[in-house]
Amino acid sequence: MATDTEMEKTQDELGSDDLTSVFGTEDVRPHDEGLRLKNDFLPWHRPVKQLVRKEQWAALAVRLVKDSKLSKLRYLTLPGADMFDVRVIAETCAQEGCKVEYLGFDSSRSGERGVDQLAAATANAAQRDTAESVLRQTGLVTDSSITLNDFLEDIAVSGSQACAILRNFGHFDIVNIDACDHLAVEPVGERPGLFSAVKEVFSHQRGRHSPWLLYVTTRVSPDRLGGPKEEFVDAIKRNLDLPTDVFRNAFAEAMGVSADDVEDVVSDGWAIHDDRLLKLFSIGLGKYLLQLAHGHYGDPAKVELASCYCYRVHEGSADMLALAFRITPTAKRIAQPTIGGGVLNLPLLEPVLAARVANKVVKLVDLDRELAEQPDLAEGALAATLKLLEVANYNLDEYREWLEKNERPTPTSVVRSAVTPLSIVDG
Amino acid sequence: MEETLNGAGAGDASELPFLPDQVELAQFLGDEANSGNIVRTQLKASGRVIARVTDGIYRRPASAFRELISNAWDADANTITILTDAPRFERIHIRDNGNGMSHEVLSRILLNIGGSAKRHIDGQTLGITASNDPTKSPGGRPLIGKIGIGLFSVSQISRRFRIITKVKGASYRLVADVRLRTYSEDPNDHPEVEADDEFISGEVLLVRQAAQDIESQGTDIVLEDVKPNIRDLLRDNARWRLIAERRNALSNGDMDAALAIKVEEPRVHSGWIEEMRSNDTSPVVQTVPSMLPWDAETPANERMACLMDAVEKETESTQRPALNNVLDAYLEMLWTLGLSSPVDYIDSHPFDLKRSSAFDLYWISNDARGQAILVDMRAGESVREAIAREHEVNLEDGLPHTAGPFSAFIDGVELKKPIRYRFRSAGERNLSRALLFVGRYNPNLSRVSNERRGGGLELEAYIYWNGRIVPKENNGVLVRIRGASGALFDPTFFGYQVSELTRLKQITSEIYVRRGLDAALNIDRESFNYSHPHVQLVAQWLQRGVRQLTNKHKDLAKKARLERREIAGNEQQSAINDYADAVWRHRQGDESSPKVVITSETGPLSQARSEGALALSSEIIYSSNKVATFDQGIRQAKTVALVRVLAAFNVLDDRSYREQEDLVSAILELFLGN
Repeated sequence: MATDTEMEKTQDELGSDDLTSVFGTEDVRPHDEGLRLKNDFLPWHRPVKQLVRKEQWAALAVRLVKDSKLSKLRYLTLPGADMFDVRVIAETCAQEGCKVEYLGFDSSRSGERGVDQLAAATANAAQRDTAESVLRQTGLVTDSSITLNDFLEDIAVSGSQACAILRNFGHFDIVNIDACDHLAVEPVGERPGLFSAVKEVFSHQRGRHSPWLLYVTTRVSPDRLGGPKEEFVDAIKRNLDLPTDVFRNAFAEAMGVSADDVEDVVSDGWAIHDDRLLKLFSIGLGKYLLQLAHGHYGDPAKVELASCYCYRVHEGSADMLALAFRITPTAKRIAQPTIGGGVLNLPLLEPVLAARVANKVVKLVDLDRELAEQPDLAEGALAATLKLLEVANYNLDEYREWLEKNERPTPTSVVRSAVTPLSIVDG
Repeated sequence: MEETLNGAGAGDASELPFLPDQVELAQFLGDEANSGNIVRTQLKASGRVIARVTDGIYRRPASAFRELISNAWDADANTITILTDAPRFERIHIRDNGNGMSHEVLSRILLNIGGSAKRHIDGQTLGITASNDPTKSPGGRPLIGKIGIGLFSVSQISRRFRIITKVKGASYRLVADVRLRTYSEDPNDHPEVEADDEFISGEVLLVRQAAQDIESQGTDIVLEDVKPNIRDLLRDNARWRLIAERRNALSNGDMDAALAIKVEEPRVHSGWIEEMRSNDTSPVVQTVPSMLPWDAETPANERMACLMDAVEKETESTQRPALNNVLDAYLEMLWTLGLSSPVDYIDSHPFDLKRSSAFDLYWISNDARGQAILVDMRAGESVREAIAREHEVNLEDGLPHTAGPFSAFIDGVELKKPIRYRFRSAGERNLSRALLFVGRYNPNLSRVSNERRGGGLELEAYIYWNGRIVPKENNGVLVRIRGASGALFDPTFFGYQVSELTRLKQITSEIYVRRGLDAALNIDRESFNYSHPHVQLVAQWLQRGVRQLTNKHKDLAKKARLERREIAGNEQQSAINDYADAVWRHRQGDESSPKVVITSETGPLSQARSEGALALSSEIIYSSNKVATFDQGIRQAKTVALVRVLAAFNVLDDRSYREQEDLVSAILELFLGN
């Protein structure tokens, strides 16, 4: 019998494109990946993230479900392979007889290059499949809920597959941009940035008649602020320039400066990584979104900052923001003519709403400090996290070891700590 | 004891030596001492044969989905949801809320491909069949599956898939990760050739995971990486590439190349993506955006009706629309799955149709030379009720099952059977209402021996005559066994040899087999073994029923013709018309000749077409200057006669109105021009 090498000498070469188009891709994922007990722990496995899920995401979700009498909560998410956000929200909503129908974007598979990345991405997808199936079989989510292997950013590209699916899905009750990275970072290449996706979400939600929620979790650091920062600055300045001081005063109080010094904060406050940066970012984003929604004459809406938390992932000082906005469509406005014949850009209500965003930021809650100061809270967060990890097939012993080895940095933040036990303080 | 027709006189072989073992049998035959001695053994099939099913045995991806839908039905699921990621088709999810698979059931399925416990006494032990009837599901549904290959139909689509399944009451969930081998008969590929001729089809890793949701149940299947050729079929890649090529040729001014490409864009479609993979910087973009016959707000249960509307709308441009002109491959797959699955009809089950002016109801006679009997339906009565009252027969198909309703969803579309019973005129020379023939057949086979009978046979059926069947794919007979069908409509009616071609093209028929026939289904469930006696019995009964219908139609049409003549009085027919009628009768027998309308007005033109007439635009037919000089009166009469002659030879069938007009115009120019 001819050896493989001898046979190959007489054979015709097939291009790799031809090979792929006939045979598909080779299996690169280890076959047992996605089945074995997991032990790859990541920042969102810390108990502090559970506080965001439970106290912010789930608590606001269930309030929306009750207020709007929803039997199905339509949810746009960026889920990890564990689907923890979906589970926590869905379990809470289930108590009100409401199922979650989600559309997820998981870019871990998209754009992979080498064999290692492909293996990791397919393993991730396999784990996600199981987590999705468990949620579905348990009856927490609808059968039509699905996670796509696409970047959320792609919804901002006209004609993209992601955009087509988003449009076909209809409006959402909650949009959760759990970025884990920087919302305001400048995009690289042709693909738009995450901030463009947020804008696209607002465009997609137009025409909606009932309130909806936008959750934004993002890292904030001075060296990762791109174009969006300029838009935040512009949005803040537009209100500072108005004849009324309602926003100026609220902004000054939130930033802990006098009303005369706010311009300096707006121009210089972005350079230093401290709590003022987090507040500035929160107000800038909130003010920008308010302008975006409120300024739309066809489908105006008001934007409120419903909850704002911060915590630590990489730095000694808080570097993650968890913000929740409530967007409430309002009655269509009749354009008011001005002297020049144009239209008033900022109706008088807007600065008042913007001031409320700033007032809310004063109450920014440092979750790490809450955990350090409230043992019961910490214990509850750990227990809930362990339960999630168990359902998701993690090795709990190894998790406890990991948690001990990777102790949290002591909070150095001077952010105000909540005096009372943590609860949603909703303006 | 009653003597059987075929088993009489057979000797009793049970006294002979029985050697089921291969080695022992070979030794026996090899031993000279055994010359003249009779030995008995049993035929056994090789496992290798069934191994091939793990590599795919179907011609279309739709078949694999059809099998999965059947599996969900058998598992007493109320819903199955398939998410295809159209038009990308990268990963496919199949989800049901059925009984799930226990550790015993899953083990059996994986290690005994083709050895289903359904319809088997083991099924009762495993809890996958009813405790008192191995042919039914635990919830009482007639089981569609029987061979145990349904799950592996997914191998047609993907070589890698994952099963996540849970049984109600169990404290665990099973996750199986399957990787299949491509079937090979090259010994170099698998040097570790398996013992016992059992082909190893692939590798499976399984894990039992603790579950806290004790009361939940269901099965999820995720097809991880859809095969490239299947993706291309699903996304209609070949058609879209040709359309793109034509567009390029046109933009480059290459008219020859553009004209050579005859493919048309489907009227409605799911879109097309030329570059399927994204990379770090650019997203997946739809080269052709989807054009679906519904919008985001249309409820799932109305979407199949929208699909049917789109197909029916095509009658505005062609007399007998074909599906693939209107739908892309994906939407055609939805159509096919709707036809083949045990789901509801778009509007109504034919047995639930209420009395109306749109049809007359007849009861089919089971006598070899019998004739159908008109059933007098009372006001508000359904077909089912009228038959029960007049013939004391309770038609069962379409009645609710004890296991509850069953719905199948694909990408937000609830599947329904795309068949409607709306009367469409074939012109004023034909009948003014449809004919619905209904029957039941339960032949007594007790005089045939068990070995030859192939089991019992029982069916219900309808044969529906309509002026036009839209789309043409709905013409013929479709056989449902236990609610499901693999084959599509058979326009030959099991090879019915008659000259009634026009009438046969006006018939939709479905046979609901309650018992039997499934042994005659080939392994792909899409065709029948024609030598099986049940196929012959069904064909014979159907063809008798069709004959009863065509006889009745002839009578009614003749009566209508005579009545019309009386009303019209002694209408003078020209020699040309008489000749055309003679040609028609010679070719088509007693069939009513089609009404022909030549007009320049669009309103009457559309009206005539909607009534089933052969209506052509005089603007197009007489557009040539040469023809325009000819005498108007004779020209009109000759044109009508020409159209009727062409129709008599079936030349106009399946051509768009525009093509019909161009053809008639071309012939006229040859013979009536200068």
